[in-house]
Amino acid sequence: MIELERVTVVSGPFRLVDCSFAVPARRYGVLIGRTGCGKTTILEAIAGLRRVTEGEIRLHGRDVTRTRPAERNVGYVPQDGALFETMKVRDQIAFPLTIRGCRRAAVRERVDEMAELLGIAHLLDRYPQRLSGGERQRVAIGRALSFRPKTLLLDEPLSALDDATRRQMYDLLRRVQRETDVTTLHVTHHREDVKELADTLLRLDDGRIEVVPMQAWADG
Amino acid sequence: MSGRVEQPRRIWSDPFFFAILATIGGTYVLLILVMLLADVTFLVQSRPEIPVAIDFESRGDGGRFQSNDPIETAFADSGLTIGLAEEGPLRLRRFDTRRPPYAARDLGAPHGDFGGPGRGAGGGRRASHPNRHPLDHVLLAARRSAADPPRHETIFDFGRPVTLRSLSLARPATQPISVELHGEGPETTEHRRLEPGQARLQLDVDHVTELVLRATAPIGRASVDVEAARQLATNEDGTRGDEGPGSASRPLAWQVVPPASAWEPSNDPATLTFDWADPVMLDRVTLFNTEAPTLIRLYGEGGKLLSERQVEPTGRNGLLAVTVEQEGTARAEVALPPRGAVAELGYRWIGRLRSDFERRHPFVARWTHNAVTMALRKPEIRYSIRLSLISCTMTAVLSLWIAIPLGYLLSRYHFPLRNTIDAVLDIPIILPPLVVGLSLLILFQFFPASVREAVVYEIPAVILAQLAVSCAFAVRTMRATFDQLDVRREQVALTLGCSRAQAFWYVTLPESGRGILTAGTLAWARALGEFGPLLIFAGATRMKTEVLSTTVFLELSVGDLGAAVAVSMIMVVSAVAVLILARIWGSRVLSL
Repeated sequence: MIELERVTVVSGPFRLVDCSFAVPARRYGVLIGRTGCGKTTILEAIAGLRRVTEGEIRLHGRDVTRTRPAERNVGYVPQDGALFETMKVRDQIAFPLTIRGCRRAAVRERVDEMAELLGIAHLLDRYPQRLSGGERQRVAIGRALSFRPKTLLLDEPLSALDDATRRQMYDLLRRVQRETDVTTLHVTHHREDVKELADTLLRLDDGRIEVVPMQAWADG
Repeated sequence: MSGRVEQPRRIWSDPFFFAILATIGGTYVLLILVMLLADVTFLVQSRPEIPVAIDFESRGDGGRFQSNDPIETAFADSGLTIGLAEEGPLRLRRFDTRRPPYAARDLGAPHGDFGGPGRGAGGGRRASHPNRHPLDHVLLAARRSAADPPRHETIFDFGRPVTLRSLSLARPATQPISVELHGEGPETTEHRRLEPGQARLQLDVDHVTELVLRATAPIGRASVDVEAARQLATNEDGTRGDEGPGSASRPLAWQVVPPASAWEPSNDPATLTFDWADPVMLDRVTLFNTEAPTLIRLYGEGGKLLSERQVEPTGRNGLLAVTVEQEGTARAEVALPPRGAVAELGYRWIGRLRSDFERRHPFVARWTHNAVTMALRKPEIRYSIRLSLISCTMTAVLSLWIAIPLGYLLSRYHFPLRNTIDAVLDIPIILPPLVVGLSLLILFQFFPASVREAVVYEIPAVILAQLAVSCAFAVRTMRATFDQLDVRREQVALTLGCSRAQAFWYVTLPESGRGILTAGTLAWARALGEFGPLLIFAGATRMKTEVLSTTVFLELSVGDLGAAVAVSMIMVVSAVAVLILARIWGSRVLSL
């Protein structure tokens, strides 16, 4: 469960004041809003990359407002994937586990498992420079999920993809969510993403967040 | 790269504007290229030659003649062998004009500057001939002396001014022995006397270069105590004997002058021959005591006669430097009148004996033997190359050690005085180099003497002076490198479980590899060219704090343009190599 309660984030001239919402556990939340309205800022605040001036952020009942990013157990996929340029795909996915000091055999097993799930087994020995947009996103998602976080934050993961790839990614994201039971918050400005993925829909408008009932959305 | 740069325009789209831009910009590019081309041309064209002046005083290898050294091959290392044209009773002898033998006591006129008969002829302060040293030894044809000398001599030649403590004889004098102590300048001769029955004389005289014992009876073994309890002795027959134990700190190239009386200048004309292993540029021949015209014949390779000239007499005890300036001289024949002598020989040659291979392939030899290879053969320059490589590499490593954390700090964090620190980093770049060196020198005046002595004018000073400037460039480069790296990847690493340090170590540092290489090579290249601060702070001591830039300065200041250009070319080549390295593997966005 992702819960924000009266959260205020100030970043330069940009302010997000008194912002509250919740995404229920094991659900797929989609946050929709115009470009530049602060969607990414909210994700960064949840991931712990941006300081929260007021309010409280709770992940699965635990208050993480002042916790370091490393301790929040959040998988974060930024917009362009932000893959590590000097690591092979295999090492990228293994990275969070290596940092945590997992045994090598366990790491290998988990990497293979993630590669299987995301359909990137054939890419494991490539460097990110030689991946397509869709492949990059899959690797980024694999890296974000390899250490079994309970929360997954996706920042416009499909924005740079063509329609065919996009459709594959919908299937993939649905399957990933089903199989890993991760609570997901997906930020987008695409209406189609909502239709395909959302269990819970949030709309950010003028610095305020409102929960839109799915029924109301379907009705237009 | 996300932003696409527009393709450069084709030149024929605006030919006039292109012409203006190309003329102005091209001038500079041309200047750089022509400058380097001029250096290369100079090196290819220059024929490295070493000037040699043979005055028969010291051997070709710089050592002193000992009594049994043959004069014929004494200069073989300088490519020269000497001989007499005719076989016969005559022999080549070095003749000391300061101490003419009894049979030729009129040879070697006393010179006013050097006071006293038989001591020095010509070459003094008032003389105008090109030999800057006072004339002592000359080369002439001699015959075995018929007249027995009426007196016996033992002469210690110390080679440099020494302090004499005492003189001892193996057996007491039977006749009075006169003792002359000669110093370096005029009016420095002291006279003492050993009375019959005496075997020891306390001397305690400073600045003695020569000790002369004269007697009418044989003197026998004599020994002198020199300086720090060192004892030098002659043998019974008056030749050089052993050197006793002594705690001497400085070596002494002493000799016992051979008795000149056994040979005397020939009364017949004689032709002296000079043969060179490789043709040389013969500059001059200095003649002495020719009372009739002298004939000088010069031959090239294969015995071809190059020139023949008759030289006017020098007059009795006169000295005449004959300017020859003959290229490609392989053999010189000097036909001297009776009692004439050659006092000095000046020529230029390549400085070493050529191998057979070089003789067969002169064009290839050009590449194996030119100003650069000559420079590389000098121990000073080898040392300076080694020190440059070591110090520049250490400077580059130390610069990175400082630049990586500092660049990261300035790039990623906002903190008080950040802008001030940024400005401070510009100081070494904009300060005049001499001022940097002076400031370092002044700084170390405040350190304890032990630290100061270990650093200033020593090798640590070289590295510190290079670091003071190079590091600023490395910090600039590293900061720009980190500025260009996406912060996002570091942030992702944080969410994946990294601490700040882990994110830096595992993600940022590997990604900045090209930037590190660029910063390192830039620091290295800057350090290589560093000169001003080094001169002030580390000095320009040969074989100690001499790096390549110092070498260029030192070689220029002694007038060796060839070596200076050669070392410059070594620097150019290494700098260009570094540039290529940085272009291939370094960051393409950052430039040197």
